[in-house]
Amino acid sequence: MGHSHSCVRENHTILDGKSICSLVQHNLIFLATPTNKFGSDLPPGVGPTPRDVPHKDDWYPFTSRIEFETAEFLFTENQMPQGHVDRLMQLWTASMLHHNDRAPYSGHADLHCVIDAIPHGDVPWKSFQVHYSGNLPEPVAPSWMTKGYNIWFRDPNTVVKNLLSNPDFHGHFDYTPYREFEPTGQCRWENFMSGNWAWRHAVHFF
Amino acid sequence: MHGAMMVPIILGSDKTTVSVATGQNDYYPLYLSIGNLHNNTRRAHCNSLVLIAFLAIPKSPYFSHKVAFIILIRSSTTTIADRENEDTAEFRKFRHQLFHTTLAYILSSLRRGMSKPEVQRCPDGHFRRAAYALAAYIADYPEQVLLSCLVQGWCAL
Repeated sequence: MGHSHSCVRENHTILDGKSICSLVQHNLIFLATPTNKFGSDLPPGVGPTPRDVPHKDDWYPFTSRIEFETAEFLFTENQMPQGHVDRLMQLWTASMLHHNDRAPYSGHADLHCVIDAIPHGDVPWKSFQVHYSGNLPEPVAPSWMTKGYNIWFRDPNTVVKNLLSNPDFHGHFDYTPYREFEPTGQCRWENFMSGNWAWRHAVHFF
Repeated sequence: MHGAMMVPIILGSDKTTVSVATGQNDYYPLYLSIGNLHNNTRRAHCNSLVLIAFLAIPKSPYFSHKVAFIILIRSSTTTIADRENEDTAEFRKFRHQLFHTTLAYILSSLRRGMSKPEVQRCPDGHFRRAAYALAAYIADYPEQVLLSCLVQGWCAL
C-alpha cells in the first residue's frame, strides 16, 4: 500500500570516509508544496517570499536604542530591584535637567509597561475555570465538587505557528513523511517523519 | 490535502514534575512539539518543546468525620464504606472529565487546521499549507490510563 503515492530517491551519506547508499521513499500526498502567502502553489524554482525584516533603526516598542539597551541591562542582565530602578531613573533625570532632557523611563512601572508591549516572542498566557456541574449530594458536598479549577494555557495554534516559522530549524526539519531503506532492504528509522505513524497517517488519508 | 505539509502534534505531560503548589491548587505542565523537527533538535533546542498549559490536579475526595457521621445517622442501609467507594468512583469520573474537557478546550484552536490546511511560514522561508494531526502523547502509565479512559488497580472478580 502507498507505492502509488510515493517516489523513491537514492540518498548518499558519507560516514567515516565511506559513502553509504540508502533508498528514501517520499510521500507524494503530503508533498509540502511551497506556496505564496495566500496558499497558492508557487511555480517550481521560485524562491521563498521574503520575511518582513524590521528596519535596523526600528526599536519598537522602544523609542531608541538607548531605551532598549537600558531595559535589557536593568531587567535581563542586572535584574535590578524595582526601588533601585526608580532611584536610578530619578538620578538620571536630575543629571539630564541641565540639557532639558530626562531619563528613558519614569520608573519601574514605565519600564515594565514598555517591556510588556514587545510584540515578539512568547505567546501570552490565558486562563479559564472548570467546575463540577453534577448534582450536589446532601447534606454536605465534598470540597472537590464545589471548588473551581483554574487552568492556565497558551494558544497552541500560535505556538505551532511560531515553531514552524522559526528560521533556526532550517536544515533540522522534515517537510514530508518518508521511509528510508538500507541496500539490504532493512528499514532505517530516525526522526518522527521516518516512522510508521507519519507514513500510515499520510497513506490512510486516501 | 494534496500538496499540504503534514504537521504532527506531539504532546507530553508528567505529573512527577509538579513544581507549582499553592494551597489546595496543584498543577502539572503540558508540553507541545511538532514531529517535523529532527529528534536531536527537539532534545537540544530550547524553543523546540514549548510549555503550553498547567493542568489542574483535583485533590482526593475529602471525607471528614463530620460528613461520615451525618451520613451514618441519616441512612441505616448505606454503610460508610459503601458511601466512600461511591464517592471515590464519582471523583474518579470527575477527574477524567476534568482532564479531557481541559485538553479539548486547550487544543480547540488546532481543530480547524486538521481538516482545512492553514498557510504557515516554514523554517526555509517558504509558505506551505500546514495540515495538523494529533500524533502522540508522551505520558507515564497512570496518565496513559487517564488519557485512554481506562481504569487501573481494579479487578472484575
